[in-house]
Amino acid sequence: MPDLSALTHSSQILSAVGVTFSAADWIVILFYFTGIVFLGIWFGKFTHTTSDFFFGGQRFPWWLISISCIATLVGSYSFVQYSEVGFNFGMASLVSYTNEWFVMPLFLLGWLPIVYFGRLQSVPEYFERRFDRRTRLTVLVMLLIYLEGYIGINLLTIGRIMDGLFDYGPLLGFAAGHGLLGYPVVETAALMALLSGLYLHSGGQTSVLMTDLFQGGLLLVAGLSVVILGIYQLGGWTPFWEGLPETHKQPFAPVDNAGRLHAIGIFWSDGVTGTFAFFFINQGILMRFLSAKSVQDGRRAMLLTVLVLMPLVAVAVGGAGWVGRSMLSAGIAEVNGVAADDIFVKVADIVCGTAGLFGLVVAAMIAALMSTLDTLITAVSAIFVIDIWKLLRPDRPDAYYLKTARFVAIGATVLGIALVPLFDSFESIFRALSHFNSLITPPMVIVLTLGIIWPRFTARAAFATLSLGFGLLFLSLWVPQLIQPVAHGVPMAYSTTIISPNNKTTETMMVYGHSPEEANIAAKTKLDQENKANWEISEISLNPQRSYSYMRSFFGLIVCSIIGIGVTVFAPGKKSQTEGLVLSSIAEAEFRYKGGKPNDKAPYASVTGPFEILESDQQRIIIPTSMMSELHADPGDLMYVSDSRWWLGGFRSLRMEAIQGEVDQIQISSAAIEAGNLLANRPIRIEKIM
Amino acid sequence: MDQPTLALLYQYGIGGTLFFASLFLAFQSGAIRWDNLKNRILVVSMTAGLLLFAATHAAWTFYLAR
Repeated sequence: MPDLSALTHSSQILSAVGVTFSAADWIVILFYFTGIVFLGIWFGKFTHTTSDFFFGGQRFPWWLISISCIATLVGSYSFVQYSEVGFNFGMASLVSYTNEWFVMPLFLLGWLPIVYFGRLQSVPEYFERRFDRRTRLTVLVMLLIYLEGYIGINLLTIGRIMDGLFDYGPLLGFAAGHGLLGYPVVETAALMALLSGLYLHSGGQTSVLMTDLFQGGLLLVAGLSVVILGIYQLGGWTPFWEGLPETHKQPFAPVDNAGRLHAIGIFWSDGVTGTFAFFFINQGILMRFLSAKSVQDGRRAMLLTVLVLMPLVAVAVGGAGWVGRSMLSAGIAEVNGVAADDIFVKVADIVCGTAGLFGLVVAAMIAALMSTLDTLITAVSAIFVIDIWKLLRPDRPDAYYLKTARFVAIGATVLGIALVPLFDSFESIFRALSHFNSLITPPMVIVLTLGIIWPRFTARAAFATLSLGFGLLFLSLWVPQLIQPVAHGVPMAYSTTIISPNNKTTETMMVYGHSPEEANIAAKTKLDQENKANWEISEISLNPQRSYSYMRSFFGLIVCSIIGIGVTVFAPGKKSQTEGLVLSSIAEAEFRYKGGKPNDKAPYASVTGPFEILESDQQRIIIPTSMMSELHADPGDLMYVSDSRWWLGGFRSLRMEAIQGEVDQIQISSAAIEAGNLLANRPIRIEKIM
Repeated sequence: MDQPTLALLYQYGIGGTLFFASLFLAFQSGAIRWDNLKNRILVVSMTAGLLLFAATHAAWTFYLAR
C-alpha cells in the first residue's frame, strides 16, 4: 500500500521543470492512447458473464498474471515518489520492491489456495464465511473507502502531472492554464478516467489483463531506458557509481534515521504490512490471482513477480533518482536546483534526446495510472455487486448482475473524478486518507493471518481485533506515547517555532526526540547546522500526527495480536466455521473444488494436437485413451484446453472435465468452442490442471 | 555494529523467522506435503529465492558498497 502522504508534493511537475515536447512525442502518446483503448474494447467483446467480467473466466497463464500485477503495482505516483527516494537516499529506494519474501509462504501456501479452492469472490466474503456477517460488513466499509479514495488519489496525481502538458486552453480560445471548465487538473483526470472507463465498461477483467500486458511492458521498458541512457550519458557505470555519495550506495536505509527513511520502519510498514495489504487484502489483486487458470499458475505468477519483475520495477521507478544524484555530483547544470519530486521528469527530459522517446516516458506514466485505475474500478465493481447487490437482490440471472457490474464501474469512475477537486482543495484529506490506510491495515492483517493459521480464532475475537485495534491505532494519532514502548528507539516528532534575531521572521521546523528536552537539544543542533545559531527557539510542541509514521504499523500488529489471541483464549464466544478456510483444511477444500481426489501424477504434463467438432450444447471434451495416459490423467480430471499459441495468453481457452473415449482424435463440443473462443482450424493444447 | 549490517541482519533475521515459521505451520497443518512434487518445487523455489536475495543484499552491503 503506498504512502499517500508522499503525493502531496507532486504538483504540476511537467510545467515546473520546463519540459519541451516535440511533435514526435505527441504522436507516440496519441498512438498509445488509441491502441490501448482499441485493444481494451476489442477484448471486451468476449465478456459474457460476471465470471468473465470479474475473473476473466479463470483461464489466464502465470506470466500474464505476473505482468498484470506489476502494471497494477506501479501507479502514476510511483515514478515520482521512488525517484525522489532514490535521489534523497540512493539505492535504499530498492527496498520497497525487494522485501516481499517474508509473507510469501502464507500467501502461496495458505491464502491463495483457500480463496481459489473455496471459490471465494471477494475479500469481505472470506470474513463472513470464516467469521460472521458483522465482520464482513466492517471489512466491506473499510475496503470501499480505501479503494474509492485510492482511485481519487491516482486521478489527482495524473491530473497534476499532466496539467502542464495538456494545456489545451489556448487551442480552444481560453487563457493558458484554463481548460474548458476552468479546472484543468480535474478535466485532465476526467479524460484519463474516461479512456480507462471506455474499455472497462465493456470488458472488465479480460480487458484489464490484456491491456495491462502492454502497459506493464511499456512502463518497464520506458523506466529502464531512462536509467540506462542516464548511466550512458554519465560515461558508464564507473562514473555513475563514483558520483553517488557513500551512504547512497548502501542497499538499506540507516536503522535510526529519525523522521526520514529508516530500515526498521520500512520493514514493518512496507515489507510486512504493506505487502500483506497489497497481496492479501487488495480486492483488485485477489481478482488477478483468481483469474489464473490454476492455483499452480497463481503461485508461479507470484514467484516471477517477486523474484524477477519487482527488482526490475524497483530500478525502473527509482533509478532516475540515482542518475539525477550522480549528475549533480558530475556538475551537470540542468539538474541544479531541481526539486527531488521533479527529478524523474527532469532526468527523463535530459536523457531522452531522440524525438519521441520522451513521449514514450510520458505514455509510460499514463500507462501506470490507467493500469492501476482499471484494477481499482473493477475491484469496486466486484465488491459492490458481490457483497452488496447480490445480498440485497439475490437469485437474479447472471446477465442482471453483469449489467449492474458495468454500471457500477462507471459509477466508481465518476465518484473518483468527483473526489479529485475535493482532494485537490484540502491537503489534510491526503493525510486523513493516508492515516486511514495505516489504521485499517494492521487489524486486517492480524485478523486474516490468525483466521488462516489458527482454527480456534473466533468471530468475536475477529470483530474485537478489528474494532479495538482500529480504535487504539486511531488514538495513537493523538497520543503517540502509546507507540513509544515498541518503537525500537525511534524518537517522536516535535514542531519547533524559531524567531530570527531581529524578531521579524518566524519559521517552523520539525525536530525529533524522545522528550521535549531532547527535542530542544536537537533543535539547537539543527540551527547550528543551518547557520541560524543566533535564532531563538520560541516554542517546542509534540506533533502527534507526524510522529511514528513508519512505526505505527508495528504497534498495530502488536496490539491487534494481543487482542485477537487474548479474546480467543479468555472469551472466545461461539466456535467459527473453518472447513476449507484454514491452513489445516486446504486439502478438503481442494477435494471439494474438484469433486473428487486430486490427481497429482505428472503435474506439468500436456499434449498438443488437432481436434474434431462435436455438435452439442454441453461443454465437453473427449480425449483419446493414448493421450489420457500421456497426460497421466483419469476421467473427470480438470483440463485446461487452449489454442496452441502460448503467446495468446489464454485468451482462446477454457477449462473442462476430461472424458476418456475410444476415439482417434480429440473431440470438442461446439458449445465449448464458443465459450473458449477456440478456432476450428488451429491445433489445441491440453494441460491437466487437477 | 555499523548501520548497514544492522539493517541487513534485522530484515533477514526477523523476516527469515516469519518466513520459516509460516513454512513450518504449512507443513505441520498438512497444507503441503514434502512427497508432493508440486509442493516440493514450490518450497524449494521460495527458499532459494529468499536465500538469493539475502546473499545479494549481504554481498552488496559488505563488498559493493565499501
